[in-house]
Amino acid sequence: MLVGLLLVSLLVPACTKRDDATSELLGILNRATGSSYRLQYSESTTGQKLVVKTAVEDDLRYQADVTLEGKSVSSEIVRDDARALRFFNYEQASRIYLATVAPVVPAAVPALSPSPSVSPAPAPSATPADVTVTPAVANGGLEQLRSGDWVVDKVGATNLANTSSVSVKAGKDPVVDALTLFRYVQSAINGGGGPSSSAVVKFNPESIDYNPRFDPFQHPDAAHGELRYDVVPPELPPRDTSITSASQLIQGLPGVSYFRHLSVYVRSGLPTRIQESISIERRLSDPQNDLIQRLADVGTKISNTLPLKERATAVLAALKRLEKDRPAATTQEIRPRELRADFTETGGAVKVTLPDGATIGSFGPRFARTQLLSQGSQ
Amino acid sequence: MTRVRMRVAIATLVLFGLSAGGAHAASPSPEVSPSASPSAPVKPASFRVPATLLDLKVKPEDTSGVLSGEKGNLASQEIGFYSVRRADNFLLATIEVIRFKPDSGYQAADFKAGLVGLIGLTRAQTLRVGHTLVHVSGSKGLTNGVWFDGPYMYVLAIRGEFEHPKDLLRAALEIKL
Repeated sequence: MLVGLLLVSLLVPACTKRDDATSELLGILNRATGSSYRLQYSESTTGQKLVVKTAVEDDLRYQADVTLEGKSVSSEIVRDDARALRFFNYEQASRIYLATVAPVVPAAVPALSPSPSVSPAPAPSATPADVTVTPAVANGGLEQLRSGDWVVDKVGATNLANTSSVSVKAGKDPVVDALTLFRYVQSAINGGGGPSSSAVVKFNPESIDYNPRFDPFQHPDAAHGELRYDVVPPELPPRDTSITSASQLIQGLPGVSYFRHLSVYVRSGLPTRIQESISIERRLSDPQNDLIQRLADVGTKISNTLPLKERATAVLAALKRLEKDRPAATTQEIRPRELRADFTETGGAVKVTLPDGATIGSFGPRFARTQLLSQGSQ
Repeated sequence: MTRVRMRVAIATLVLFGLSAGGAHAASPSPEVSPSASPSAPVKPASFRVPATLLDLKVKPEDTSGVLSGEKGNLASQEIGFYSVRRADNFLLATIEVIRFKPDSGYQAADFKAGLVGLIGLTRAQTLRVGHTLVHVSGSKGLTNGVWFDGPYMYVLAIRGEFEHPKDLLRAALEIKL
């Protein structure tokens, strides 16, 4: 009996107290947010692989290079008030960039603002001294952007104050997604995408809560001092067959956090890698999962005999259909994806410079962004 | 408990022609520290601020009129106030530098947060610019950046339509007193 109790006491604390792990991870993310770093952000969704390579010098200086299926799409450099863009594939790139500020316009993209000045009063010349540029062009640089050249708008990133409207929803703009990744993780920890907050635990394969079958990620390299913090997806309360109110039943359906596995790998107190897997198939592959029955309770019949992939597709479609009947807090878009973000040079001397010899143009409000990077609010 | 008061960016309001209520979320005479030494009046200061930032003229402005109205125990011992103007004298920005008394408690996070909360009408966002944390907020037609360096607090208020706010902020962060 005594041996049994001792064994239980060893097993039950999964590895560390959950609150401690949450605080530790939030502290690690805060430290990283306050550092320079390079990040390779790779996302796979529905067979497409998108990569964003970023360099962050500080909150006013970054570079982001986007590739899709191994082909360059766009490069963006923000250096204080100046912003440089290079579109390798104009149509794809303008879809990414227009998604943030306006509905996607896949075909005819209007010309950029012809005038570089947005102020009624002429501003003094204040180009940083370390940039050499070619003279301004009449069309704002649109032709140069179309032909794949660098275009610099010296006042293309002047929005200093507005950081609060940055969305932490993934999927619209990969540059925003990559640059706001820390905030996205913080949001996931704090319950973004579901009615309840997700617990954080340190990886421990000996824990009674750990099930390797549902762990989509590599074990941390403990031999080299690597830790892994897991943002554990919340479980649903037991299915209550006594509830007959359709609205109540719909509110009880899971949000994205239920399908999300998110892990942060840490060395020397800084993140080295963040991985996220949002998978409906993985949840449905658990024989104890009753999501099909819960959907049946709200009148959506999905056959349990369908192949797993088709079942997952049907579940996703059903949940999306029911989103309109659910509170906004629980309806962050469920978007299956595999994400891997690798950090290097964290805390190092990362420098971001504007390209030499670029055409001076004016993007006007066309590709405008808010101030993306921030340490939070006071 | 000693009540300590300090003027924050009042001269900015005067120079830009704004009312205190319009540009500040809180009272312009807040309590900021329980422990600063009493009586010593705040002095207008002439800190060694560069004569230009970017290509813009930086000129000390007379704040003696504003400061002479201050009575009581103050956390600040010197305040310098500077205008940033275009060649045609158009005012683009102001820089206010406040030196705190050694016993004002200026090192405390609460002290700094209290002051940051007084500047601007919007909640301040903290940005890392180089190695400095700058608290950025907005008020009527202005973008405000606040940062601390030892006993000094800097308040940079930039006219909203100025096209190089980040370049100016970066240049102002180079001021070392």
